[in-house]
Amino acid sequence: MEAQLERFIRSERPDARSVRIEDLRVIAGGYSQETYRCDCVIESGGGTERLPLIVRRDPPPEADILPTNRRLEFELMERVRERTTIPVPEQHFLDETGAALDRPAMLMERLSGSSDLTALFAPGAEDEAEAVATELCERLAELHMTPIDALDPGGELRDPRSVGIDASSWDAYMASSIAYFKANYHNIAFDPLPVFYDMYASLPNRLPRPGRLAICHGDYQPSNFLYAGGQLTGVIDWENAHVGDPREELGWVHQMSALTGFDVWGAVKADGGFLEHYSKVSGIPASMDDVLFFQIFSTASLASPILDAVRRGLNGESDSFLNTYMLQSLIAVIPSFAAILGYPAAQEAL
Amino acid sequence: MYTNPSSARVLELIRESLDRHVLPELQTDAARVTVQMMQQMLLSVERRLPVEQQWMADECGRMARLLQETPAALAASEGEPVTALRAIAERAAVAPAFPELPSFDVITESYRELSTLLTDALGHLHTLDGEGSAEAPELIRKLRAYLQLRIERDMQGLFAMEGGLLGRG
Repeated sequence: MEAQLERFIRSERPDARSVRIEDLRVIAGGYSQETYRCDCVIESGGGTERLPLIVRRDPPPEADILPTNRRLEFELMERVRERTTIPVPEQHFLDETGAALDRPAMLMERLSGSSDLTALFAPGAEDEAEAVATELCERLAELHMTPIDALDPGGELRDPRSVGIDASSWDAYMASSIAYFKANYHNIAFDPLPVFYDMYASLPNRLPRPGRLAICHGDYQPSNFLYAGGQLTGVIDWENAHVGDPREELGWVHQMSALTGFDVWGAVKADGGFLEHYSKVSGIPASMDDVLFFQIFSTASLASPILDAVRRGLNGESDSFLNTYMLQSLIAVIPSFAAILGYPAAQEAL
Repeated sequence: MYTNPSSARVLELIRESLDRHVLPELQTDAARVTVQMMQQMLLSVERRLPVEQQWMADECGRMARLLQETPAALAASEGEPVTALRAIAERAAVAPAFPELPSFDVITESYRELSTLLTDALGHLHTLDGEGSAEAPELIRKLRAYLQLRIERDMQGLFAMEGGLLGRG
């Protein structure tokens, strides 16, 4: 892969006399894209540049947990970097078709900071955790306050997975999203999953009050940021970004804080907590009932491709073990859905 | 619980992944042989899982019958071993008699069919709820009470999540 990267970067930088890739390593553990880190040394008439890089490449289609578009992610991250104060890596090179790197790939700046949250949420680090979580909350508010057209001038994030979502209004967005969840369940459920279907089918009867739409990161959660010295240094993994209800992100932060054990939600103290601080900074009103509704909604949205990935693993369409392992995440979220939906106590005999 | 994948199928997928993704990366023969031993034992468990309950129930009946028949054939004999065999027969006679268990495939098929019906029923009840049915909420509550039992069994009995969700998400 080093040679492929060197040839590709050289073609993108005709001024370069030489391009050298050093210390290429896989970053293991990601669920969606293949991720590598390396340094790129470029010699040109202007001297020597050393670019610390992250390479994100599509996995083989059969192993793709969350099929997304590298060009959309590349362009959105660049606009977010230019038009907000959210720390986002600079985008360097895009192989949109995969002609140079076998599959579509993007090469971006490797930001400083750590993604190891064990240290941030260790006893004694409460002040640092609060500072980082508060900044995450405020940057989320900033994202949602940024006009949609500034970040998505071509309207490509209104239905980025091309599944029939109508983001022309809040009502249309909610109705088309829920219709998609229900219809798609029958295509992808590898086994009867009554709690998931209960979740989908109950959504129309518990809609929150209407709100406005915004650009959503789509996976704003503890695994997707970097920090250093009590500061947020990067918000990464924008592949699931879309036009949606900003309260989806509140539900997802709440969900993933509980699921991962890294309690970003609970670490914010300003104004009484994450929800209150977010609402004050963004001006977007949101209640805890909204958070719980959108916890279900956002999980329903992300569960669809995950269910499909599990199905492909079980059918033998993919030989990646990750497809099978995704079963664990599906089981793990079920008790929280049951709690939100108000399941009564278990009864041995009905 | 899931009928797809069955426990045996999960083991098969793990075994195959060890073959494809782990074995080629191992550096020593000792490590390779250890993984191959693991694969062989996983295959044994795969084969055992679908039949062990049925076979154990069946063989309980066979063993009890044999042990009760043995001293009967020795009715004319006496002595310490015969006395011991009669005591064994008495204990075997009070062992529980299990009904014949359906095969794993038959139970699985029925569980899957009823789960599908229950799932569809939930969808229809939510539609009725949305239309204002007075009865639908209570009927949904009853189905959810059953599902809560199912969730608790899955979480307590089947689900291992020590170390949290692995990977970076």
